[in-house]
Amino acid sequence: MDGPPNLIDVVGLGVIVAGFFYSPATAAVIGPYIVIIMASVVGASFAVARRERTTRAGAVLYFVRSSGIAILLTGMIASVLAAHYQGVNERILIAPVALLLGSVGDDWGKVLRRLQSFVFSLLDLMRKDEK
Amino acid sequence: MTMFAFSETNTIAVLSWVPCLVIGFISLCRLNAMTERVAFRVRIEYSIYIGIATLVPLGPFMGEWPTPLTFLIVSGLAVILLCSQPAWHDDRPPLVAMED
Repeated sequence: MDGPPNLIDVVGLGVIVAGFFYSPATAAVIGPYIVIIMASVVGASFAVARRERTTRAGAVLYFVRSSGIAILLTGMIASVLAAHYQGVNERILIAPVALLLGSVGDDWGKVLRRLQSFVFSLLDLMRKDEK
Repeated sequence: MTMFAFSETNTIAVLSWVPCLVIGFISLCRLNAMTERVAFRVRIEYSIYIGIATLVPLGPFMGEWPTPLTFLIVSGLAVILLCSQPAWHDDRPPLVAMED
């Protein structure tokens, strides 16, 4: 085929590619997760900024991993919190939960240790009240 | 009344991925290069850029198809980030990005 690509070819390619990505089947999966994806991605960007500088490939992998974990866990955690706190709707919680989970990055150890010490402090407080 | 044919809309949506990828990649590289001394406002700035780069390709799933104007704006943003490359030379944040 000679000459530069025809504008119609580019349009046709755009139609084909968009047809795969923006298909109803894809929309059914991604649609409900858009808010979660957005918040996770923004949260993960803070996690990337916080860590030590590494290679670009390392940064991309870290970013995908952090936002991926947030996307996977947000629905579950938001459901648990909404079930526990009756006045709070799950839909209100997904954005802040996704943002927080994304911003944790690889610091799960620190977060869990702080959570553990917080729980132990609460238990100590309750024991003191009992005495 | 739709201004653009469906095929043109899809093409613009797909073409918008290119500047969004550029914006996302540059923002990620600069976020990776940031140190503790980088100001919080700069981190917010690049987090918003990543948000934009993610939102534009996902917009069609919410019925927000990018228009030629959207494409021009994200392309302009990509060019702006490319033009500021000398300030982030050698993957080091510029002094102006540091805390006061």
